[in-house]
Amino acid sequence: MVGNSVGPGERGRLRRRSLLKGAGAAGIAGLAGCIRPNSVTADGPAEELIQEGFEAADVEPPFETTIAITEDEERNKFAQLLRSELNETGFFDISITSQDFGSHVDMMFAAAEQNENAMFVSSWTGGWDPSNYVDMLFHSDDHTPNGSNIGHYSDETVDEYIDAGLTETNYEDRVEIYRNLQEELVGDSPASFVRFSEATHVWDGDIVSGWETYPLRPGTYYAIYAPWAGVYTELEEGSEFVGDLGSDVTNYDPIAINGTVSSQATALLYEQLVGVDFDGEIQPMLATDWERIDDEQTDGMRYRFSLREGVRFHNGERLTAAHVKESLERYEGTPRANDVYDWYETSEVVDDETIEISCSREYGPFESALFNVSIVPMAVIDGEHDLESEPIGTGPYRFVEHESDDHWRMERFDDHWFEGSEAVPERAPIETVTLEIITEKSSRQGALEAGNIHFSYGVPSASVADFESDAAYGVGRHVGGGFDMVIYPTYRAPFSERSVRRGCNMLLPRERILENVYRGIGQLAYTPISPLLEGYASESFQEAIANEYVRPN
Amino acid sequence: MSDRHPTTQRGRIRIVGFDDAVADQQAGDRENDDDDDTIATGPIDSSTTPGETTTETESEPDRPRRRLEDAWRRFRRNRTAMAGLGVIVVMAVLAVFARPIEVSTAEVTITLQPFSLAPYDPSAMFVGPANAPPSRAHPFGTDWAGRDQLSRVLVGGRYTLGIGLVAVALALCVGVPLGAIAGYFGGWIDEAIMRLVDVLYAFPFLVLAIAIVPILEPIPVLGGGFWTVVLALAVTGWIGYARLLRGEVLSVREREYVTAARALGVPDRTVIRRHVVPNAVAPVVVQATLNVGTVVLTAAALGFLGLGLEPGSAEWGAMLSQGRSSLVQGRWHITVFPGLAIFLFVLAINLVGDGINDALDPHRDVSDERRRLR
Amino acid sequence: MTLGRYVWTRLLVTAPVLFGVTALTFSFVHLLPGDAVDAIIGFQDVSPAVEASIRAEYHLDQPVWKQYVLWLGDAATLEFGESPITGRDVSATIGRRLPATLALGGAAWLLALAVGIPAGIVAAVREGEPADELGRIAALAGIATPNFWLGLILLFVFSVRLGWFRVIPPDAPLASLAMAKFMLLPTITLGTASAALITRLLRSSMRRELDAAYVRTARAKGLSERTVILKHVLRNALLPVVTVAGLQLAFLVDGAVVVEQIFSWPGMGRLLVRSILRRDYTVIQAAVLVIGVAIVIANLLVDIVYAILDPRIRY
Repeated sequence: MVGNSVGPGERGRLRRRSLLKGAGAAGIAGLAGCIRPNSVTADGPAEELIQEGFEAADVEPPFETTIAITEDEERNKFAQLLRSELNETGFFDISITSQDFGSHVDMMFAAAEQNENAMFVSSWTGGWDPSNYVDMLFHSDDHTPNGSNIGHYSDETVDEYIDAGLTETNYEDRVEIYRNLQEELVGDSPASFVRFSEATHVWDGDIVSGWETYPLRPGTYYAIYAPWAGVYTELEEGSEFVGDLGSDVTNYDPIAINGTVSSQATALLYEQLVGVDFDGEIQPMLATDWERIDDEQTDGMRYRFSLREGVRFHNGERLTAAHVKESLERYEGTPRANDVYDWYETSEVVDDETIEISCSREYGPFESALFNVSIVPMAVIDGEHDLESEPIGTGPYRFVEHESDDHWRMERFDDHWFEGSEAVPERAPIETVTLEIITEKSSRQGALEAGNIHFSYGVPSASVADFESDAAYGVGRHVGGGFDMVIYPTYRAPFSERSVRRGCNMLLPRERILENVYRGIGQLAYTPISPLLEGYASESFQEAIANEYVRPN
Repeated sequence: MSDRHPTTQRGRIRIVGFDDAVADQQAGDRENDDDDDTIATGPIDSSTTPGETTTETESEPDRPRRRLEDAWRRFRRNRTAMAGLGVIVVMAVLAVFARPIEVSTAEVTITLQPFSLAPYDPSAMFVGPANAPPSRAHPFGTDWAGRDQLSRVLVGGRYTLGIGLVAVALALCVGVPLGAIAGYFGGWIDEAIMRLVDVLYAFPFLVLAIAIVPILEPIPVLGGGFWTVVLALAVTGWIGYARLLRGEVLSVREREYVTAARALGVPDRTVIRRHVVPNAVAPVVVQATLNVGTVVLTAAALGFLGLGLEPGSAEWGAMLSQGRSSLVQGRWHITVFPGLAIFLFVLAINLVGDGINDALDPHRDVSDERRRLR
Repeated sequence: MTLGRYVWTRLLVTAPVLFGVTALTFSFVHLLPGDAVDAIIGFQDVSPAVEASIRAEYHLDQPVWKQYVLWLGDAATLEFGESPITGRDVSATIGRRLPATLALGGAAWLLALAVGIPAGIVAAVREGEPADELGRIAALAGIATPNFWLGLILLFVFSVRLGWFRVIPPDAPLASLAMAKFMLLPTITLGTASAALITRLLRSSMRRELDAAYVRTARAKGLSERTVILKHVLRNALLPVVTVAGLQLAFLVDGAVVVEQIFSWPGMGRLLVRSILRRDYTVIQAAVLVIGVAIVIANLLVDIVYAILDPRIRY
């Protein structure tokens, strides 16, 4: 027909087109490594475990599944290395699904319900207490969507240990409990722990003189001026410090904050009753003294806190015990209610400077939990002021402005309560703190190199070594409170079989990932609790676990 | 002028008219400047009563084929266009022969294409030191996982060409029929389709794609991201063709041969298929060719934003995206080669599109010939 | 028909288009997978009562068509509600970001015209000469370069290595010299493809015009070549450019999404991408709607300008 009559050139193009279509599809199939011999042999203890599990679950190799990740360069590479390793055994045929953050979270939280056939690569940010690393993830009460137990893993012994760890207040006993818990978790492997994150701070040595690296990300900027922790920073020139933030600040109100960036930005603005300093020690902040005052009637725990005098909010109010009580109780009915109501029962205002707080049960992490509750002014509690329009606290800096997606600015609060000490001057040396919001990772590095910012905590891992060898820059590294992990879908075969999970755990190319993806930044992880909490997860303990459960004997 | 061939077959009516290309050839030969008032009628093959098939006589099929042959000849004379075509052919060949193509079922693995131009398996890691600059062993260097860049660029061509051609083909399959129907029938069908086009036109290409990708993601059929990207691009691409074709159809349908065909009672769909669309389709073909380039760039942008293909794929845009922090680290080789590859491809396709434009547009061509004869 | 009637007709036709744009925007957002409430609470463990109240607050308990109508009504008064994720007023957010994108897009558009038109004229006039070939190749190169790659390279070479420009926007008002200086690189990145397109289009358009009869007449009349070109040919040749220049707006928004990301420019593009990824429903709806309406209006204006310039088109 006329319309479809094609000249030689076009005909060739059409042919090419359809050939390429086939080539493309087949090529992709080929590249995905789906061509494998059918008989699979297990050579090695890890593969043997997997084979055992496959047989028990009645699954034929190769088992097709996918690794679900978010779109992040490093996460991407992580998944590729993992896939390569698992596919090579012949037991698996793995593809990678990369999604935007929203879809990824959706997928994880609906996974068990949908019987989703996927392994999830995720990272978890813990805190200063060991319970932060296990409670939400592995307790059977915390199955999604109520908690973060994505694989719907449930084990009685694990539950018992977790509960015991929360209610035990004696340190040594807690260490014992959590060690047992970790061993149990590694033996069962509902998730494989891959790497403990590291806080890497890079600063311009010409401008910033000396900097302490706070291990937990929300506290990145404490180093600017944290008298309660005995830390402060001075500038060689100028009075403005320019740091960065990896994404826009979303919430200003503590009861709404659910992202690390918002916590980082507001860290210098709010204060709490106590604080955990750079070494993990509890320090008094707004409370000067406290003691446990249980009596026969107390079910759980009861503490009396003496509050600091002469503390002022940015809006002029004076801190009283009523502020503390109200700040605690405003969490009720909010998305972050569990931060408080997991342990809080009631509190009693004794006088302006004294308050007694009761917990509904014995609660090990009590003091570090207090570190998460920011004290806010009465104007907020009365509903006169909305923290979402302007954050107001008692911190050494006050809010100036937030240009969405551009920058966040704070200035020194001259009425701050601190009166000076040997270690820390009364007045913060830095007058203005500006945090530039830069989402593009390479731009953060570029901005630092070009001198547009003085400090960055998000330089790509591969560049950290370059900065370390450059005398003009200072680099601070500290093991952080988070880990990267691979979560197995324990709700479906073959991952419902412990041996399969154990086998995968052994195969995980941790060293390679650490070396090639993160360029040595971070530490190998075999258990969930970060070595930041030395007592609970020391290096020797990690080694012992690794030798027993992960390294083939 | 017109050829007449007597025939003894019954019941066939032949309508002949002037062939644009023929007229121009003659006009060109006579160095007639004033070609603006050439009667533009299209070539008609044997217009038949419904149900009869076309039968061949010697010179009849010549006319339509001659038009395209003339176009091809014009195209061939255009050096830059041929250069572009050459580049694309080379890229296609390289893409096909880069690595073996195998199709496997549970029992059998069929090798469609056994050759392997690429020295290494593009997904094989650590075949060389990581992030190594270009060397003899690895002419394009290696990436963060020690994968050979040359192999990846070669194989990456499959994705790029595949996405470009498939997305445009799909968009054409939707846009051309809709545009033809809108232009031919007019009335409320035209209005409805054009309003839909206007509504979609209000959304920028990339924004639509960004919005569509998360919607398509959960659908299990679309594996690997390839089809998600292609569909997103096709859905956003068809509107241009529809609009363009409609415009052309509006003018073509007024021509005499269409009126004549309809007077003969040829069914609408045949008229559209045989007479209207072939004569209206030229600018759409040009646009489609040029759009292959745009589609490739948009796919690369989607990859840059992280909404593209499966991680680790050797698609050029994804390679650029993965390597972007390497630029600030001074490792230029990781982004330069895929970037150049995209650049070359889009450049070539634009040259080809220009060439097609010049070849199919007879008016322009006359002046070109005149110029060359000068 | 008269210009007035044409304008009126176009306006009438645009109304259902706008309506369609709102409907499409709304359905996009509701086609996004995932439960809206989860995105709002951030997957915390909340009591059913809290969940119910959130649902009611955002009208999520109503049937879809009713949600659409409610939203449409609010949108007409520019009341876009609050972002479920940040709790901040959406209109205010967009109000602050829109000027940034408009500034960048506008600058890129002007650059495209300022570079493309003269280049197109030169290429057309000096047909066949090196200037023409050079122009053609430059134009093709401009179209073929992936804009994000160009942006990254410009940023790296001129800002990081040479230090001539900042890597991130300065702390200065939008209409200041410091900001204008910073905007140079992103404007070049964004405008290059458009400039190339305009160059090619004008060149082919002018070439076509130069063959026409009236040009010969003008030359025969003894007018200087310059007058012929600038006064007569250009005016006619510019018509398709006018059309394209208007359509470039959508094209520029596309480019802006990527360019804003690279240069950390706080505009609508970044806002849009981020809100889609975070499922920030009210923001997505508002942003897409604003962009869509702006483009429809721009197209309308282009149609009118075209009708003014070329009376033949007013069918």
